[in-house]
Amino acid sequence: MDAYIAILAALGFGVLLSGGFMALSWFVSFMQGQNQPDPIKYTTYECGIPPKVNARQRYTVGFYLIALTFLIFDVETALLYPWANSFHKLARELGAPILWTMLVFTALLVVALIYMWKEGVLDWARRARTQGK
Amino acid sequence: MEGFLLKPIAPHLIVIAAGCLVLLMRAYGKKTSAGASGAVTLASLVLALAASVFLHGDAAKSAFSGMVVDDNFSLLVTVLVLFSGILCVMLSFDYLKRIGIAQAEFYSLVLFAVSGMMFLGSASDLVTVFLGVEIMSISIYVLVGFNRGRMESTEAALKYLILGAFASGFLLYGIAMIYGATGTTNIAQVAEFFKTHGPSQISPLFMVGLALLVIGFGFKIGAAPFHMWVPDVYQGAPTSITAFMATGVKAAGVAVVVRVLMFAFPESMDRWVPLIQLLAMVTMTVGNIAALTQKNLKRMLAYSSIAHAGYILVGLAAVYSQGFAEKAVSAVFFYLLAYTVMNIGAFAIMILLGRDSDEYENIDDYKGLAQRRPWAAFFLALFLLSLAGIPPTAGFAGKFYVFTAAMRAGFVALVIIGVLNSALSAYYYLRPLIIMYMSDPDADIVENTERRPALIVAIGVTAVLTLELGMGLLAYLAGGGSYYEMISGYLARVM
Repeated sequence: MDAYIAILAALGFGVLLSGGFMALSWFVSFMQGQNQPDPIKYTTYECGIPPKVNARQRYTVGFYLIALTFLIFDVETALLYPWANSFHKLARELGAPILWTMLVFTALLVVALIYMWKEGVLDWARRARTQGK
Repeated sequence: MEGFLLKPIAPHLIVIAAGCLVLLMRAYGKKTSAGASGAVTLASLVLALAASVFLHGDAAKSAFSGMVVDDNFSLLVTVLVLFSGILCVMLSFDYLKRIGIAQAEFYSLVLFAVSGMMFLGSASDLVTVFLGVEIMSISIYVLVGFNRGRMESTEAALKYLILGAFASGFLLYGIAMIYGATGTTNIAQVAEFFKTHGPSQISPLFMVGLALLVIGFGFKIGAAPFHMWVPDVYQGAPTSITAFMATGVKAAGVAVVVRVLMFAFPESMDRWVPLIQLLAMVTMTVGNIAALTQKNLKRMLAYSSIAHAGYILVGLAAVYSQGFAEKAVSAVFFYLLAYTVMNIGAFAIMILLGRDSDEYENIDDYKGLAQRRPWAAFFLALFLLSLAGIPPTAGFAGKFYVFTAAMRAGFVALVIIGVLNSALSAYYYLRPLIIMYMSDPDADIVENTERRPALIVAIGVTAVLTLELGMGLLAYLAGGGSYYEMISGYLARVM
């Protein structure tokens, strides 16, 4: 427990310091500043350029499908890489199963890929052509 | 090589392979009817059920370096969830066609959900528990929103997804805390840790982890105060999925609570039993009181499912009785089986009567049903009486075993609250009965009169089992063999 006291103290010091600066600046602006409301002040700040449209817009559902697809294969890579890296060590200890467990995992993803492909998740250019009219 | 034995998860693999097969059938044969996928699903579930019974050995076998285990406990859970899955598929056949969502993906998601539940039953590591919960939940989120043309269905799915993801966070955080406190996620090794280090090792870190786990599981089984999602989600989901959630998901959730609390933390029982007792009292009372005023049958059954989760938790708290823990857990299992049978039966009657997009949910729709459809009215009456816990039905036997176990543990107050709650629940279960039998039918109500064999078979099986399980109580009291004795015989070997 003692080891954490130092962290707690540092945390407390950080909170006090940042809180103190915040309170100070707020106090100074309260004493010195003047209140000048202006509609421009209430607009969205976008790198200094006046905003053109509302930020909340509808996206085509294709974006979500691509994001999901990416996520699946991204996670696959994240799993495959450490597996490949330690393959020799694992294979010596556990034998052949270490190969086919990963093959089963990949096969399951292939099933998902085939399904997506056949359902037309990957053809969004064609879909945009047929639906965009 | 020992660590990679596949036999303990053979039934799980059958279900997963069938899920993939159904997806591929849909991908390659666009003209394949949803009925064919349904038939494949039903066949694979029956095959998995047979495999789980026949491949099961007497000795517990663990596989994948202690991540899963095949013992009598997992066998009971597997049989229960497969049974619930089979009935759900039988309810879905015509229902999906009627409301226009007959798609192969529905069945494949049901299969994946069932595989997740089976992994929950045979999990022997907290990581496997989490994986099982996620496989099950993610499939169920999609199934709840499957009727996407209907606003309520989509809303229910979104609500369940957000709250469920939140609850999964609690669960994962709890697992991390337990890992921090004990240095392992393996259920047997956690128990071993407390056995060797003694109760002085029960640290605040462990207690926080335990509380977080109970919150996460409490959400999944719909125990108050984590029950807010239940009424809306049960009402919005397609009816066959509602039946599946109320029985399969609940059974798997309760099973995993038992597995984790009983197998990993038996040494700290005096810490978590009061927690479960409190949850049981609140859950029973909230569920029953809220159900009193419902005018929608589906919503009423949702609240009743909360109340039944409370009765199940009474049985779980009763493991406190020294030397009778397996009796209490068998009472829980018997209750789950009885609840599965009678609840799916009640939903099957709703599906039987519903017509086109009219779900036949209002209690007033059942006016004078006894004159128009005497058999449907009779079976619905049977299931409702069983849910109310009136002898000689399964519901009564279940409550009898659960409350007996709680008495044995010395929880008199808990039993009194439970019995009072049962009395209260009779009011709302009997009201549809009075409406069916004692009022005249409205002229403008027309219900479905098509012939649907799968549905009729499901109703028949559940009705017979409702009576059969209830009659088992007589044999038990007379000292003969009953289902309850059979279950506790299985469990005595693992507990």
